[in-house]
Amino acid sequence: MTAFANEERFRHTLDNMLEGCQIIGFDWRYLYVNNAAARYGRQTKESLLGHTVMEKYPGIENTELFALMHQCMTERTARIAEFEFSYPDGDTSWFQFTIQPEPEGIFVLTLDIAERKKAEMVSQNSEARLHGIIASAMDAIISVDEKQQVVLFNTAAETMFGYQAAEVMGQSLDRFIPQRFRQAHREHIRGFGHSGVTNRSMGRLGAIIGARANGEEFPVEASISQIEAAGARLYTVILRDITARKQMEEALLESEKRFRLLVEGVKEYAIFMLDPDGRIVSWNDGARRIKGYQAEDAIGQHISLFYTAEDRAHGKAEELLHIAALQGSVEDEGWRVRQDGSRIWANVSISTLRDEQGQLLGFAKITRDLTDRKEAEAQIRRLNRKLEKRVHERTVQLEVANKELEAFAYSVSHDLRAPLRAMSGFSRILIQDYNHILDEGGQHYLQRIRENASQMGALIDDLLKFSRLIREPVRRERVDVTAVVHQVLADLHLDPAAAPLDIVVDELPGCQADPQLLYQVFLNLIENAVKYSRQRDVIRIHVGAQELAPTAVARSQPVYFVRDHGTGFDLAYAERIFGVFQRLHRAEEYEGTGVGLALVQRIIHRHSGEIWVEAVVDQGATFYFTIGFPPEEIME
Amino acid sequence: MAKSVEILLVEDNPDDVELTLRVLRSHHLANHVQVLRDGAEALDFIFCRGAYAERDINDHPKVILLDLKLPKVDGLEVLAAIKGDKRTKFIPIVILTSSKEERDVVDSYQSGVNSYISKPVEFEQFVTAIQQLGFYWLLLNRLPS
Repeated sequence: MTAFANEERFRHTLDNMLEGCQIIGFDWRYLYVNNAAARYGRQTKESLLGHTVMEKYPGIENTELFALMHQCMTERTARIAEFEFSYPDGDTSWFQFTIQPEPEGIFVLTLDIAERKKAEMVSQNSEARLHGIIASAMDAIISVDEKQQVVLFNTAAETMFGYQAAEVMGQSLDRFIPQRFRQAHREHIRGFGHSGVTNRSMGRLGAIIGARANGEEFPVEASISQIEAAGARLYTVILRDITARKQMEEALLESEKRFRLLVEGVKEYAIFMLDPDGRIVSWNDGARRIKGYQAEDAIGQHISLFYTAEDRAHGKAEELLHIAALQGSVEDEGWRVRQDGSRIWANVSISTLRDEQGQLLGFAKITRDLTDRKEAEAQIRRLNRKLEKRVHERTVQLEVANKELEAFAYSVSHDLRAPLRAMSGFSRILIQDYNHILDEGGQHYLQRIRENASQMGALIDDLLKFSRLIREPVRRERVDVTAVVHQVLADLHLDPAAAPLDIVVDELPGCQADPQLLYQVFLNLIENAVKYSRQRDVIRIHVGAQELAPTAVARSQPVYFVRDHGTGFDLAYAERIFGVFQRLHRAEEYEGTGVGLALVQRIIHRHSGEIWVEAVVDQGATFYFTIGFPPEEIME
Repeated sequence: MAKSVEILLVEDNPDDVELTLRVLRSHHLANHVQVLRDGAEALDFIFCRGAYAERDINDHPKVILLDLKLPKVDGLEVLAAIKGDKRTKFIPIVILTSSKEERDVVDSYQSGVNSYISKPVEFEQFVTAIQQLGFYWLLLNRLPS
């Protein structure tokens, strides 16, 4: 083989190599360029040869590549580097440059690494992304190698366990697990490593407990996965602190339990749930008590079970559920049937239960047994009717009695006086016409007859007045009491022979009363006072009033009094003096019918007032009375 | 023709009749007193019916003393009949009765009575009352002619 042939073969090989080959002289002119180098340089061989690098790629003298070539030119040492080469048109591409010295200058071998760079970029990007995800994950992510030493510890893990990543790198996983669980946990991970499963949730069956740097333990939910990379096995654990969720679940369970106990324990109310079709799904003790059904007999039944045959025929239960579904709730009161067929009067409230989307879940039904109340109401109504009937009967009887009394009084008024007038009249005529044949004794007896007739006339008058007070209504009006007393004094029939009268009348408070009746009261009391004081040298009478302090049940009101200094009486008889025909004095001593004070008391009572007396024998008596408030004023 | 009646006394109680007549007579107040014993008889007399058909309806007594409680037709009815008839309504009527009932007084005045006197039980007062009413109605009172 000739040298030429040899050189020819080398050149041919060099020309057609995949890598770019070029020789650049000390003067930076291209001395040799193969096909690949021209292609990589985006030039033709001819356009490059004889030209300088700076000519072909202006600005190249400012690149690291040029600096490296320059170094090789001067220092005569080989260099390898990867650069992103910039073309004059601005485009770039990655190449690996191997630069080595050559007797004429430098030899540059160019390898196209654009594809590899691209793959590297993608890989770097995805790693960065992964890193970002791991760093920002809410869950703690920890990776350990085969020796169970930490190789990755994310931000969430730092927060969860209270360690910095730097502190735990290369450390054992043990510190994140309470002492008592460590052995089991190690075995668990080893077992997992042999299982060949690439990922699975840990701790589904047993609670996993974590330990924080401060020793605090907390429940975690974990999943673990393993990968094999470069022959090394890597375990990654993802942990979620479920303390808050656990607490919430427990609180919910607790509240649910409390609520269930509450509902189940309620005895006064039947509380139960219905599905959307009206079938019973829950049953409390109150329901068992009120409806009579045991839970197992009730659950699954339709609500119409409790309705009367008539209500069932009308579809009342369905109607109520329909209204409840439309309005949210409905209330009803009516008869329901217990298991034993007896009826209860029930107050029913049905509320619709819906989920967050408004989907009908069913109904909550609360029933109260109001049978007792219903019966009590019926009883009250019966008693009321009875009472009304009785009141009506009594009223009729009273009206009849009143009419009879009226007829009686009328008859007395008309017929009883006439015989007395005859007795009085004929006795008088006897005295007038036959005086000459009557001796003193005869005249005396006739006189006694006349006096008795007169006394009986007075009695009849008083009795009629008394009975009229029972029959006739009291007509109240505002009365000037002082004026009434002065009228009484003006009308008083005084015996001219009697002792002088010293009567003091205070200014008296007014009141609501029947003026004629009040007049009668003061007339009788003052006449009595005069009568029982007549042995005195001066008849002293005091008519006054004092204020009665208000009590818990009564307003303050005036107490009127009439005081005399006459004979008085023994208070032991105080009760008797207000009785009809009751007298404390013999008729010879003090004239009177025995009706006067009874009349006064009746008038006071008809005014809802009270009357009482204080007296001392031989020193006088004081009569006190009040006038009650009219009924409509009491009502206020 | 019989002399005109001066006083018509309608009273069923014979005692009251006797006492009333004694007072009227002893005081020379009336010579011609006609006594009738019940309400029906009084109406017959006034309106000239029955036993009194021959009477002249315009021959009025000077006063009628009328008890309220009378057999057959009571005093208020008699009063109303006389006062309700224009031929007789000018005849003065005095109710002379034992009753002191307010109701009777009101009813009488509503029927147009000229005076209401309740007879006192005591004879002295009775005498005074009869004497005064006789004096007033027979001597003092003047009627349209």
